[in-house]
Amino acid sequence: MTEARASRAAVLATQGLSRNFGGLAAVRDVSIALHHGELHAVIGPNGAGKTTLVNMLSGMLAPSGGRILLEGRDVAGEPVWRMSQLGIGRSFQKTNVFLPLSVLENVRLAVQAVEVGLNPLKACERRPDLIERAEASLARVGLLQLARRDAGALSHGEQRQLEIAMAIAGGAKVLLLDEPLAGMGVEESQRMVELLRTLAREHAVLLIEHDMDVVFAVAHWMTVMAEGSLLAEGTPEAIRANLSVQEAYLGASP
Amino acid sequence: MSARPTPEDWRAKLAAGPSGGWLMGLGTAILVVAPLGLSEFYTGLITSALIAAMLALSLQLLVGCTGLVSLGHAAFYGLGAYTVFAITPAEQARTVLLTLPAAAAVAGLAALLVGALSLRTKGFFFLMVTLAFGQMVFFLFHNTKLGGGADGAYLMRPTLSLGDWQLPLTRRQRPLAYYYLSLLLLVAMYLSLRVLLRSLFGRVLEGIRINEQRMLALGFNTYRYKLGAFAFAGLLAGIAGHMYAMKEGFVNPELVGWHRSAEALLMILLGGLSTLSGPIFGALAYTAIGEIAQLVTERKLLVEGLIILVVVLSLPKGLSGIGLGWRKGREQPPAAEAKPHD
Repeated sequence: MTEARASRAAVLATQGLSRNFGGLAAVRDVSIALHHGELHAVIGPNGAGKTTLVNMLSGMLAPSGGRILLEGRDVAGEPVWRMSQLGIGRSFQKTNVFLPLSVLENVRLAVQAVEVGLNPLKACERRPDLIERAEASLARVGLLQLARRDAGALSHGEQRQLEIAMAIAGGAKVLLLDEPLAGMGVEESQRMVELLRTLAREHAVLLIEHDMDVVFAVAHWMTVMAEGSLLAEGTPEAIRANLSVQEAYLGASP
Repeated sequence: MSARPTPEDWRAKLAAGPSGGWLMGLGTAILVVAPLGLSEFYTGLITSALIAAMLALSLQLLVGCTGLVSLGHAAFYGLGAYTVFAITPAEQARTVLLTLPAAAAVAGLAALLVGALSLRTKGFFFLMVTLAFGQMVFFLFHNTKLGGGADGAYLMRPTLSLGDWQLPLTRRQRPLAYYYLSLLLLVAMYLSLRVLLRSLFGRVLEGIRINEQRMLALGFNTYRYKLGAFAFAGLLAGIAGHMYAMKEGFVNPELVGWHRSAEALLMILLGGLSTLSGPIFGALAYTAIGEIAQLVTERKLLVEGLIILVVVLSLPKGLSGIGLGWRKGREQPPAAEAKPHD
């Protein structure tokens, strides 16, 4: 699998990506590749630099060094809104939705955000296509029946689903999902795992997740980070067998 | 989706329903007939209130709709007024068909420029930068002979004329003409802002107000949207300033000063931050409070301040916080309702 994987063109790849905060190297010389149809899990202890990595990939943070190649084009340092328009969608570790707006409007905004060449002075009702695409996205995550609720009235788990709906609504090629299962109940988690599997078929997915059962169940490829650096990468089987990873992160668990 | 309305549906209907259009319509109707029974003094007073309402309404596009608190908005109001002075020769009045678009254009372009620079800052810094720009414009007129200096200058009022034809107005009818023109412009401003807020552009402003960082992450270049709002708000303030110059036949640097900007903010606070009708009610109430305070006491500002304090503290959503709103447009798009789900 490793050889076959290396020969395919990556949708999103980093080369020597680094980010310093003052004297602290939060991410150090990290090179990873995300492929279409692949769920790529990034694991590592707290402070390993996972979220900093995602923040750079989504354009929220400018890298201190290195390159970010989106389909071969260097996009490092592009502003966050441009990254989103280029096809990189993300969800946030801490739920980050428009609480006073309806669920549908949250997702409709996500669709509108990446729609190029629309006339902004057009009445919202005159663009039902945006609404239809938002509804399709809500249907995929199973929130359509709650479309008219205020986002603030949703349960925590439903808000996490809404985050995903917003990330996929704009037709992103790459999905950066920062702990989408955080704080979810067992049943909700199971549904989210199913969703992750189906999303991985059509996107290049980067998943940050602490629940190792989930990670090993869904990941096709794994990257382990520690103290900002890339510690190991490989298939879940290879990572499970890797001794240094066990020492650094997995501890006693097999 | 089920046809059974959820509580949210009803709340949205209540918020948008009769109160919004109905009350505004009634208020407009009253204002249309009011001059018939009023003295010239009160007609003039309400005209001033209508002009103040235009200024406050234009500022609401920034403060209430987009979440941008500016302390320099009067600069564009003053620029609108000074534009009338600048393009009117000493002995020859210009037609309003020329002065009004000119005032709007100058104020709008100035706002585009000021906005392009000041919108690179956020929050408190934005407040200070807009204040600084406003004061620059103030001292431009105050310390140079450009517009009559610190004392201001008289000007020939724009006429309601087209080519050689001029609306025949007696001296007593002129204030009425200013009154109705101001009312007409205020209503037009209100309606155009309503349309704007229901547009795709308006939805973006709403999103920026709630959470600008999230809008950026979604893919909106929020700077451009904020700049558009800032320029349009400046243009509308220029129209208000034009009407001031037209009504008073006089301009002075006070029109530009930060005090005027703060006053407009107070009117918004008084009327409510979350609606378009708020600034209009706020401006009318502010003018009324000022007049009543003047009748009762010589310490007008003290009484005025106390009343405003009480209203703002007891009605956090202002005078119009009783359920008027712009929730209507965004809640249930008809396309979403027509489709069967489940």
